[in-house]
Amino acid sequence: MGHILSNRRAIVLFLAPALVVYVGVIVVPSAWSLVYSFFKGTPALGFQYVGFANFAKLWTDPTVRQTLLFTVKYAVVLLICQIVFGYLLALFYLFFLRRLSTLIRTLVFFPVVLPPVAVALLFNKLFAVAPQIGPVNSVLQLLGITPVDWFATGTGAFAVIIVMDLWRSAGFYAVLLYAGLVDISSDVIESARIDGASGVRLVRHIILPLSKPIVIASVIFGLNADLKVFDSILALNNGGPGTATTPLNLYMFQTSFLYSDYGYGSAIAMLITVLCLVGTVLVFRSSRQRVGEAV
Amino acid sequence: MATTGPNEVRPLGRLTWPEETTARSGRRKRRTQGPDLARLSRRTLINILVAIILVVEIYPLFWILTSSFKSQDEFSTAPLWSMPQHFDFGNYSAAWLTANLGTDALNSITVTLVSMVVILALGSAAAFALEVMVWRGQNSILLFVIGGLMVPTQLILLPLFTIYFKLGINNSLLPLIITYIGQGLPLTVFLMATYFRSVPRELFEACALDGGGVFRCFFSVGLPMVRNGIFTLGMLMFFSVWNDLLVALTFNSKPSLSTIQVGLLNFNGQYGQVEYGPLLAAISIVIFATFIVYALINQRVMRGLTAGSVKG
Amino acid sequence: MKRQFRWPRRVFPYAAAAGIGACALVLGACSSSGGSGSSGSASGSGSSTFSILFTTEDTQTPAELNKLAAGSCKTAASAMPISLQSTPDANLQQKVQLLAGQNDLPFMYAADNTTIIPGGTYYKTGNVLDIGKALDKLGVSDDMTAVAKSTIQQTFDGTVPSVPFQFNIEGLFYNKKIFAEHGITVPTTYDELLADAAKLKAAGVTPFSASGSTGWTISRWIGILLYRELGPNAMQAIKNGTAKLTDPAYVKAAQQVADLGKDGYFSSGITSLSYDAATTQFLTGKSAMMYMGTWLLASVNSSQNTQGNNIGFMPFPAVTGGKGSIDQYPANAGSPNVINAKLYGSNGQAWLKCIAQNYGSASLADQGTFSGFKVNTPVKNLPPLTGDVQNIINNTSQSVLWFEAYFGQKANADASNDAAPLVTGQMSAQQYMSTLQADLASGN
Repeated sequence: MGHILSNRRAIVLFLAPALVVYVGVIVVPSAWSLVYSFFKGTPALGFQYVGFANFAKLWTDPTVRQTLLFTVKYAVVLLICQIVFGYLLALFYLFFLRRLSTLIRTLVFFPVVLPPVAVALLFNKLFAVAPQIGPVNSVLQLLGITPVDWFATGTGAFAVIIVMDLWRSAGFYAVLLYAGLVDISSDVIESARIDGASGVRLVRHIILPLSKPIVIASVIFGLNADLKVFDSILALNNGGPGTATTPLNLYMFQTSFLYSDYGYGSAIAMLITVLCLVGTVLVFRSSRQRVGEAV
Repeated sequence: MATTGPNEVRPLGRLTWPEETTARSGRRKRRTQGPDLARLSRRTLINILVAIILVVEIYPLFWILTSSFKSQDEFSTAPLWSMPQHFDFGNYSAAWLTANLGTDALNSITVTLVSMVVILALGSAAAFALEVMVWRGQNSILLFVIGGLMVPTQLILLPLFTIYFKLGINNSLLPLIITYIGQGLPLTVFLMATYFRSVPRELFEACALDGGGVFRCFFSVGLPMVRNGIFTLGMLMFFSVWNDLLVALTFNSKPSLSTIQVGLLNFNGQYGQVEYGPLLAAISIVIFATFIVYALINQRVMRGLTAGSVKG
Repeated sequence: MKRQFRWPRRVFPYAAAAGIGACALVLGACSSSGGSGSSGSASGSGSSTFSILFTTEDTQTPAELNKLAAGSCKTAASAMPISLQSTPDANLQQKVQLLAGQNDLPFMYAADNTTIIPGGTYYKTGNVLDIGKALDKLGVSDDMTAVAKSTIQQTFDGTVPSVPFQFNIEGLFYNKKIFAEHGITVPTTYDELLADAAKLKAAGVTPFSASGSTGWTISRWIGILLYRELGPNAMQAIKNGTAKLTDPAYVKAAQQVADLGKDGYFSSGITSLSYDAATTQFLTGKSAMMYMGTWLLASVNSSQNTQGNNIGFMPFPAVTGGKGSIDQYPANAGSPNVINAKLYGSNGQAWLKCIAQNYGSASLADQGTFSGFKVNTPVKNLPPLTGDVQNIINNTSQSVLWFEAYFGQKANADASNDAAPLVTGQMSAQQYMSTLQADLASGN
């Protein structure tokens, strides 16, 4: 410790390449776009300075309000599902599976690696009501309920999106959380057992607190990823019907590149970044841990 | 003193749910038929859950595979879960040609592998410097890099396009590779720093005392200790680059530079038609290939994920 | 113990931020602009590559051009070979914008209407060639059909910025057999059409096919109703600002379409019904009618059509007391394909002349589709319906446009995306029109 681990030349050598790429690819373009948000125009025609006009528009634009609400709703609901299902699956892997453990874990993880286009197509067909009744609606029919046009309403489409993204990502969170659970020393569990803790109480009072760090890490990662959702909804129904299931990120993309209003689009992107920041800080605050120690 | 190394795990999986322990140890207090019935019903419950999981996970993939053999009107007229009339491989050859899957696959593989290797190299080196080494300001820089997690991709597309154009590299795969590397660094640095943190500091201190320099410590002590973390991240990065669509679309200037994800878009018609059969065939090919890669590194990674501890 | 180095802690972050900010400002200030209007004149030999940017979805035009390059236009192609680039339609705007920003647009590129009209983005940057004037200079102005030229001029304020690789009219395709089975004759008024629809619905037949996910298949109904009711200048009035979409006369049309949905004349599950599924529904005899453009002929002449010669085409009926008439067909010259004025030279001239003289017959013979160019070599053995439609087109002198012709990007997108909610009752006609009017007002 000391001298060698503070070797300046080594630090620069280790850190510089990554830092250069990171600054060049992420930081500079972000700052550049932030500058754009004070302008109005297109790449082809050039930009004119408009001060805070784009940000003022953020306040008044009803679509921003709608998409913001949807994005937060989506992220919160999905994150809760992801963590809960992931945790339950992790417990399942831990306590109830033996020979099948690796196989099941692999299978459940597999949807994570599928192309978004494929998953969206799949779910479009699963929940279809025209031209044929899809499997889900067939089951409803069997139960005596009239088939539902899931994609016709914002609520129905929201349900499909949540199910789709949960199917796709549950395996990832399950494995991530499983990694944290497995790490809990079995001695601690045994001694808790001997003390009389069992079943649900074991989970609630021993396992849960000990796995808190990995849960926090998963929540932070998940929150940022979910707030920035784009691919899956675009591929499924393009944020329809109308803009009922359009997340902020998709609206920003449409504004910048479809409606040729790059300045306003950048302002919306700033909003997304702020949202992620606020969310992350809130999670940290409530878990009362510093970033450096978080995981 | 524990005799197991930091990466060996005493398999927690051998633990059982409390009631079972009681039953197995043979103490049958207060229960006569109880334990057997309880165990049987629980076994059944577990098996049912496993069956449900298998159906939920496998059926969709099975559907994609069988549907890829259907003809276009079967999609519109026959029920969705029906088996195809003929197992006609025409869709597959159409897929290969329309999507230009051969070239696309080559491009995807090149871009993904190169990006992955560079991300891991740069990321673990940076994480080492930020976590293991000691200097002022390291926490701030770490936060600075992790902040990149919050930046949406769309924000950086336009400036990057301009930069690459001005550098004159926009007619190659370089824009894709460089962008993916930049995007992958925040998460990689974050997680690698975590894994490095779990390595006992004594190991590094011992290495430092041995002499031989920091680089030796990094390569012979640091990296091997986080080997499984590297594999985990490798897989994560591989698939996030492999499945990316937006960046590939933006910087795609020639058909010969498309990636697989861009190629999959070739099945859409001008007025909104979609050739489902060939599209599903292309997806099946991609899934099959992905599965092979996945199976190959999966063993390693599953072990890695359970051993790359994320203690707080 | 002496520290090896020290990060100047307080200074570094500020210096870094300032550095990044400066870079960003400098780079942000570097944007390209320039050029002026469109011209029909060539400059030098121009580009030596026929570089084209098309949408991935458009497979017909590139295929036909490649064919010409190997055949009738071999000479032009040897001086200026084709180099194709394609991008999905959803990404087109972004791609073209990025290229234009770097002054790197190809010789020919697909674009959206509002960008190539006088005052539009690429018009201003000088990247738009006026095809009409160019053809005049080449002495082949007769090779563009009069109706195509007038349609384009109507759409683009009197200029001709697009090469009419396609030319389509719109109307109601119908199933003759279903009509006969239910004793229905071709309606000549809108009221008759509604009565027929009611009759069909009562008999359990889906009256109209349309796709919710490809919303313009629904919103075109609004356009044609407006043209029938208010006359051929219905949408021009909106463009000029003399009328608003929220005026009662305009909302009425949206309400009429909403009522079609309410009365159940469209198929169920229309929101997620794809274009493919909708056309298949019609072409396999599961529905009686479909409002569509004549590009559908490609499908009618394919194996997708199980109804054979039972598919017919009729003009959209007149609205009693309306100012429009039944023989005014909505027409379009395909999605815009623009020639880059900056790259147009003698090489490009040779190509354009060859296209003008040969494309008409080539597309009809090879693909059975109509273009805005004259069919100089008559094509025999056309399928009956195609022949009928060709006659109609040849005898049409006046066309009207379609609902979204003058709309910007956002209005266009909203018109499509909100169409399904309109017919499923999720959105009221008033809301639909006011959303669009707001988009138009904000210049989008």
